[in-house]
Amino acid sequence: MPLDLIALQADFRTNALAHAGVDGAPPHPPTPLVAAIRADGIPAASRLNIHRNHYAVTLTDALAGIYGATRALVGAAYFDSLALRYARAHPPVSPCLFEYGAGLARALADGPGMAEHAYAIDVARLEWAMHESLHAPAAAALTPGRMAAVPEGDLPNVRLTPHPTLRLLRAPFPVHRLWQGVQAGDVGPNLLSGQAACLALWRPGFDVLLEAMDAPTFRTLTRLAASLPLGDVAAAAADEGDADWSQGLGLGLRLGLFAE
Amino acid sequence: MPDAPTAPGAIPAAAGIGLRAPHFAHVLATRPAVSWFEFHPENYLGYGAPFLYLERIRADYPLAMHGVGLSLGAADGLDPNHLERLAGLARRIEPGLISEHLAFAGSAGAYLNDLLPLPYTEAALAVVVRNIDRAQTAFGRPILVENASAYLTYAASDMSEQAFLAEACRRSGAKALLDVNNVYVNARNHGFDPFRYIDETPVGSVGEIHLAGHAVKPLDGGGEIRIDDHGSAVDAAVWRLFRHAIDRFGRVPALIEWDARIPEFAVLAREAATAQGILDGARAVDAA
Repeated sequence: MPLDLIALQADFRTNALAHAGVDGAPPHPPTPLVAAIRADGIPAASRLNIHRNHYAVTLTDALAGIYGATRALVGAAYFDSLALRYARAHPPVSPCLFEYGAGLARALADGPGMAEHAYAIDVARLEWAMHESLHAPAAAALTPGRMAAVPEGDLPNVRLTPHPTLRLLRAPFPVHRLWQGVQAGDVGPNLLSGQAACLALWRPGFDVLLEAMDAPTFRTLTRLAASLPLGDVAAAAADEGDADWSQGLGLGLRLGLFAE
Repeated sequence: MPDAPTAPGAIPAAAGIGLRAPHFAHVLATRPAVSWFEFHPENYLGYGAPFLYLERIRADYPLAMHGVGLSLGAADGLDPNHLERLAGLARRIEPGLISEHLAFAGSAGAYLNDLLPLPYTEAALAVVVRNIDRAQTAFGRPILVENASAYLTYAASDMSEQAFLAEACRRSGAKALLDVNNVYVNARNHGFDPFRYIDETPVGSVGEIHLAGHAVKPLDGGGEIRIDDHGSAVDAAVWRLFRHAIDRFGRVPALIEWDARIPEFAVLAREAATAQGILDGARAVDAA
């Protein structure tokens, strides 16, 4: 019988993605795949295990590269084990590895014993936002001067476009300080106290930058980044008792958080 | 020694280096004397910071585009979305060469981040030729197809890898990208003569050569296997095979690849200088 190529290739997928047994031993590879391989002195299952390991190591490494601070906080062994379970359950749907791993923060949240390490989930969200910003396309920023040229009567109807690299992130504690502490190798318990973090991340050139701001400014920026008309943004801020909503607009223009 | 940086465009028959993210800043800051660079398109398709580096490097060096995820051996066909993304990047960068692997990368929309081996049968050949045709149509030019490393072979294979690759190239109009490290790794793992592999590859069919290091790993249950991990210097036996290949095919572009435990750029530059020395000693035969 001729070899069924589609079935053979699906069996490689099964072999790479099947979870290990409770003893950590690799599962038996699909029987038709084993039968198709020349043993040649080395059992077919051992040969297939090279590919299974390659999948595990390269995907875990890719996730560790994106989530370095998260990994340092929860411990390398815990992170790698969780990353491997994630990789087996959620194979990449694109050959571009930089697009892989968006769901890891959610998987962490469901991880055993994670309730007491909820802060690490926020660090993971921050690291994914930085990663996305790094790989988002460059664009010219909308300048304050360009905005000033808009006739005043037209302003209420103007909708801004967020810069492609802009990510807005809120966390219940100063997550960016914790992230910076991990980079510096200095993580103290005081990093988990303090006010909620309201952060904008964006990339004006090669490097991702980060700006912390107060909550009203963050809410305004969030609405501007959702391309609501400026009139609606002003009305929403007024409803919340925020008299000076234009601070958010001014900050966004000064930093280059909107696209031309 | 290689020439000083030249204008972008065609890939010269000289030694190049695989461009990796840890070296972006060094290359931009120092403009090292490297004849050309090769890049993996899958890392640049966000058009983010890596792409900004690539665009700047492109201003000073010829670039070749070497895909790792197109899956030319995919029995269910190429991913049209990924192919279109690659073609879009090729239109922006205008690489001197475009290449991919004789392998498959996954199944049914799941990518396994691997170059998985094909059986060398007529049915697999038909799949590969169809996929190369589609890729060449999308790129609007012939591509190069690289022999991959393999840790297993199939009972159903009824031709050699070199015969399969040569026939895939002949039917599609593609050229071979001969990875001599992969030839050596496969020869040691599967017990064939790597020099014979070179001798059975048609003269004129090779458009580029790859060089890299590999590792020797013990296997559970005894024995050892050579793993193409691109994590060390080129093995002395692989340099001998490279010399043999250059004697047969003449001067062609030759690339140093290093992907695991990536060392400082100077180490790659020394490897490229060794490759250049071998190319310089070859007879001046146009491989075209």
